[in-house]
Amino acid sequence: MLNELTHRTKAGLRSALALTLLLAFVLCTMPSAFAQVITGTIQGTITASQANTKLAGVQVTATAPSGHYVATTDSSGFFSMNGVTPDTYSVSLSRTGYETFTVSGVTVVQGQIANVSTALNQTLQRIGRTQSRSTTGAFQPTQTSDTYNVGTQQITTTLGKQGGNNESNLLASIPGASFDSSGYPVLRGGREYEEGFQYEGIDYTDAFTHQFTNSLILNGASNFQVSPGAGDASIGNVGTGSINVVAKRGTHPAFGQLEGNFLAGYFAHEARGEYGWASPNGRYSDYASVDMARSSRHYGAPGADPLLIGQFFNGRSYQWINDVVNNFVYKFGKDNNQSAQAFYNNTQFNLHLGYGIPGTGIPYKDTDAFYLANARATFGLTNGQIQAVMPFTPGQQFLGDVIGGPNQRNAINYNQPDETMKLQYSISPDATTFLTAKFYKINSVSLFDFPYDSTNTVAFGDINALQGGTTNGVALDGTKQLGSKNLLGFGGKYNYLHPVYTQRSATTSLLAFGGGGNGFEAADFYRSDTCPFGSTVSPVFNPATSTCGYITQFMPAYQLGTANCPGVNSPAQICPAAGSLPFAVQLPYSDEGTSTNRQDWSIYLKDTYSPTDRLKIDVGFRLDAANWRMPACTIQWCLPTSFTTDAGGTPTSFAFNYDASTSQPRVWQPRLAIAWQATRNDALRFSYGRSVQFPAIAQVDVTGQASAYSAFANIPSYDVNTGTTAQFCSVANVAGGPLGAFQAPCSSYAQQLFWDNQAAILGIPITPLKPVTYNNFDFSYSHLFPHQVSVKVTPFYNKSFNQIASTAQQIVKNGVPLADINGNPILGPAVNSNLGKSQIMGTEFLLTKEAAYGLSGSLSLTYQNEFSNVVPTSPSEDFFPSIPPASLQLGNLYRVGFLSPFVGALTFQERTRSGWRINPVIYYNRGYPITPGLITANFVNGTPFNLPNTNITNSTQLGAAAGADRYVDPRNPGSMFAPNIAATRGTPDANSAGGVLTAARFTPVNLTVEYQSPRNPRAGTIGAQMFNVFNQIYGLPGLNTRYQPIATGIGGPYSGYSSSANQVQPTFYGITNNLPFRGGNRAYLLTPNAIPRTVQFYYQLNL
Amino acid sequence: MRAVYRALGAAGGIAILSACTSGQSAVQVPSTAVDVQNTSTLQFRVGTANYQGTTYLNTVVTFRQPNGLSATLFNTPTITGPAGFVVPAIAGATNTDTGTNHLSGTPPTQPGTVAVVTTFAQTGGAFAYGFAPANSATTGAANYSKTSTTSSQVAGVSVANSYTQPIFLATAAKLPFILGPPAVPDFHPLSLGFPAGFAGYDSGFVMFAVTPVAGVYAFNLTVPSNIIGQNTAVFNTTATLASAVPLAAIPGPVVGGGAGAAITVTVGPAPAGATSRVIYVADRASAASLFGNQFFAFNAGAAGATFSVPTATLTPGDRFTAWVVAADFDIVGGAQPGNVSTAPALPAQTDVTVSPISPLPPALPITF
Repeated sequence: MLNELTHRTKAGLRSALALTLLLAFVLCTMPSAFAQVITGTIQGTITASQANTKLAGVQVTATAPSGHYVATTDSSGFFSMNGVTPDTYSVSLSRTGYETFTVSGVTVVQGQIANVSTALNQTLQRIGRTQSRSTTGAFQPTQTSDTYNVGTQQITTTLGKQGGNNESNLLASIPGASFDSSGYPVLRGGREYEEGFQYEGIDYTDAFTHQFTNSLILNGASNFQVSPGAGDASIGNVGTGSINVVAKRGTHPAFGQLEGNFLAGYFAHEARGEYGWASPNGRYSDYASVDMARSSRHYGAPGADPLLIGQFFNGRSYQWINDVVNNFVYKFGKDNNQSAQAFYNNTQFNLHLGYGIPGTGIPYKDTDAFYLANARATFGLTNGQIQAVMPFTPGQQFLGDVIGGPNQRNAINYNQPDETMKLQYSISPDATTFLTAKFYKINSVSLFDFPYDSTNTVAFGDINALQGGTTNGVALDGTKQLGSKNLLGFGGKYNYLHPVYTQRSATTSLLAFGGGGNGFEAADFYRSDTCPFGSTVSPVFNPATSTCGYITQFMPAYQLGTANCPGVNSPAQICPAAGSLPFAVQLPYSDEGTSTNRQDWSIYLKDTYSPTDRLKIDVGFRLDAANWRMPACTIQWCLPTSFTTDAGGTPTSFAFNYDASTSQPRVWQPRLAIAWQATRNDALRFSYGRSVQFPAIAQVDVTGQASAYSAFANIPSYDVNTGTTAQFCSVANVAGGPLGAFQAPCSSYAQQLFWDNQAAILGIPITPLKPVTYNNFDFSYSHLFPHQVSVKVTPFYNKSFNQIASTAQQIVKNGVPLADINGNPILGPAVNSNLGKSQIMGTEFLLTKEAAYGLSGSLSLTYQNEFSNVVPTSPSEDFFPSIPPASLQLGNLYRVGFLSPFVGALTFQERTRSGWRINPVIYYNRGYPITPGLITANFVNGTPFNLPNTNITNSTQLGAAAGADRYVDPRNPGSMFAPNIAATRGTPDANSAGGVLTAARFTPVNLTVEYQSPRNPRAGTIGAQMFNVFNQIYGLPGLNTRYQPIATGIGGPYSGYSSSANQVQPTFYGITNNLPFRGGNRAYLLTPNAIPRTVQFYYQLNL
Repeated sequence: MRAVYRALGAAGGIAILSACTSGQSAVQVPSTAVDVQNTSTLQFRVGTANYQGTTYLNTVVTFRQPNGLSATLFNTPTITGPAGFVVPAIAGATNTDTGTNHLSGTPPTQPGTVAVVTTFAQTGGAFAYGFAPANSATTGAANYSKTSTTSSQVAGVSVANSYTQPIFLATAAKLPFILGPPAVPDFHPLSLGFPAGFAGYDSGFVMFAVTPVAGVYAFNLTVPSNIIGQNTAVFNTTATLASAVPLAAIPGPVVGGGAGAAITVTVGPAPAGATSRVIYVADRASAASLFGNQFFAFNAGAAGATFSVPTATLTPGDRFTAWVVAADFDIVGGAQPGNVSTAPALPAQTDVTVSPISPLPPALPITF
């Protein structure tokens, strides 16, 4: 049903600018067909107004800058155009004997149906009649699934200016989406990896972790669609919701824009350009967009530097972004019914941080006095021995080399590239059929290069990691109009995920092979006559008398000397005196990897049944499946679910009772959605959908890199403790406990190093997991008010099971669950499982107002109340959820700690006819859960209880909320059921962790003021944007886990200090958290981590 | 399992291993602090300690908040004796108190700075009933858990973070003084849920192997703030040692029974001047023991008597040793958990006398 404009509004549409603005405005939710595809549908029924009969043979033409489509009504007056490129069309209806009628402003978005049904007047005199149609924002009377579409105009309003690229902010302005406590955008309560990101119908998630690959940079988007919940049957493996972006296409006449902007007071600037053109006949079109940004600025408020980051002015930070999009389409065939598309996107995001590095540089760990002191204390080695065997940090050139200094290497280097290519062929063999075949490839491997870690502990210092992978896929999709009441959709997809993952670390090498695992290989790498253990008499290795130096008989040892320590980079560096280092072979890197690839495939079938123009019913089924190409579960790779032993207690046989659906899951997902336009201005909608998300490969498989130890493949294994073959090469020793008694001989020294690293650093290699399944329900009511104001309210409910969460489970030996002498369960190592669960209920609210001039905008509100069995505020709750074993047995559910229960976004603008535009954007959140809770789950004598959360019940439970805020009297502690609380942190708390929220905030608040001359728009647009208007620079208060209690509300002077004895650094080496002034001695830590108030000036030239 | 790294959201600015900075609420959490200076009650007494025939200095301190629990979890005590009070050296160790007239603690110092060695160091503080090396650390862990095995006259016994005494004696000459059942409510049954590391309650007195000198002893107690060098509260009080004559020596108890029968401890009458007497029993566990080492105590009174060690939590193979302490103040009466008054009753001078350990003469320990 058309929504005719009033005369008043018609008058406002005279200018082309006003028309453009009106037609592409705000969030337009339209009847949903499929969201996976990138084209839409125009359909309708034409009648004769006088006789009210269906009109056959009406010529229907849809024209827009990007496309031209033709159809004819059938005997029932019905027409349908499928595979329509998203754009705003003028739809013209003509038939001899009837006046030609044109409806302009018909906006087509991907996966949705634009309905154009009207009556033609029979007349001989009037040439034609034109009517303009407006999109109506929140009001979409025949929408079926819960979907929000954001056109270019709303993108501009939310991001402040045309060409804004902050995808996170855009997402957070949409109902159902919000920032989690880490600042990541999430949908309908999902965790960071539970959303599906798509661009041009391609999965934009990396093959290893299922995170977004485009750094959340928005470039070249014509339409931005968010579907919280399951969506329609064409959407799969997207968890709690999906984001689908469609790229712009070239048009005739062409369009383009150039922009330059800079940030006042900082080295920060951006150059951006786009151009789209098409041939007059529409056969060829191309759209290209380039966005380049460079910035270098310090953290924290200018002039104040609580981290003392900027006190060394030659500290560096540098970020640069290059993003290129090109979308070429060639149409051919009869009436251009076929097309070939080549789409390409390349995103490069680089970040380098070197705050506070002195001009002379800072030493790598192997010459860092504080690190060496910790390593000496931990491993009992001398500085020289550590330096001799510890490998160089990747990128380090010599002993005594420095970070920063003359080589300018930064302490943190980060590169997140993404390269995507798509080839697509489409054909409309007839007016009722549209078919698409596409091939695509995504290559995204991020580099994390952190040569200097802030802590000086021996674990996890420097890191050099690659993370991501490639995804290759093909997809077939089709639509078929069956009669006038059924629109059939079908399709299938195949993806091959090949992850790339390595993580090398020099400092972790010393931990892995210096006694952190099962052996103590470091001693094997010294030449026997300088060996710290055993005989120092004979230079010839004798296993009977020498307990170290084993490797040096197979590989020539070397000695680092002063020749490699020029001593010019930093006066603080440590250089060994001549001959002071022992002869040694360097340890290999501790390295990580994955052995798993995955094949995903899916098929779907759906039907949109429209018995009347007011009622639409979507029914669909989808099957998502995967083949996990990972090592089979044996004791070599997987944790057994139970085991039996011989009479001596040595494990002899193992059971791996992992569900078959962990290796080849098949999940059927029904989808049902109904939309009914009750009255002219009221509409109701309901949808149910089951959706699925396969575990990320990173959650299933993190194994070492065998290639890291290939140099030792031909060397027999050797256990320095026994002097014989090493016997710990399997999961059994990684698991430890009674399972560790299983003797698994190492076939080579390479295998020995591999398993030592696995045991010390990586844990259980393979943890088969089932897919997470969600059941989503939502209902909407929308209403259209006068003056283009519309409202939509959507209560929703989503329940998931088989969620991924890490937990430790009781060991079962000989069929008996093991318990210690106190009756408490003996737990195996913590591994990922499918024991997580969650349910969320809430309400989405959207209010929109459209206007070409004057006030327009939207108000988005989301109330969300999610419960999960993962303990809130436990470390990395939103990315690595974990469940304490006692809490799991008790069946506790908690309100999640990573969501704000109430969020909103107000984006609006005032546009004057004189050319000014003022555009504030305000985000609001009620606050985030932060407290550790008064109650915790713990075992007492084998039975799980919910107990008072104190320092005697909190610290030992896996996944407990970080820290407690109640402390017992150490001389009279009381029992765990009735503790004697002598002191608390003095801060408010509630029973459940996360029961107290931070203060509510309006943040960020951004403001844009822009001017474009109405008389000379080609002169360009100038504007200024202020970000973070209220200069809110501090992040969430975090519980100070290193809090020294003295009395209630009084923390001790050692609060916030590292446990390392060597923590005072004479100069500030950049990013570190060992110093007392990092807000560290209070119960909660408040750390600045936001960009302060900044002003950006820009100029845009329309081509 | 090692962590994989999160993708960065580039738009919106720099963020270290986190995404955009939007949407955060950043206001310091409000907190309220207790008024330690005006709500805590401190008592300090000195006396003599007749330790197996040699006279030393005895101290008793109570530092409590209104509910009777320890007032603070960290403080720094200093005892300054009168002229002629000289702190001895410790064999094989350095102590800056050596040769001075004060027994001091080390205030909090800048981490990484080597702290001067003192008698109490940075771990010793005054708690609800006696001094203990139980000052809190940044781990927040409750400092009641057992230390590794600490040698004493009762070889192989590991004790809670309590002082084996007298301080300054050689380790092998010292004894622990942990109050266990039946002198205090039993905390051993598993169903009670006491933390596994808890061994027993303080006896309130701490002896120092220093020759006592009659006179006034000053006691200073500082409670630090969250800033090194600044204090939340400072307390000063004095105690007078009117007489350096100790209580008479007492013989050790006789432990009997065993071999499947109940363990008994027999003691003779208390010496003159003593108004209370406590028998300490150390149960040194065998390898199969459920609880490891544990302590019992009997509030014996003045007359001689025989007491039976509760058998419910004993394990065959356990080994028992006992010793007796008599005092002119009510040791158990002031102890926790029973006494939660802010200031338990104490005489002006608190003297103790400690017996040798059982059995006498040295022989094989009694086993259960």
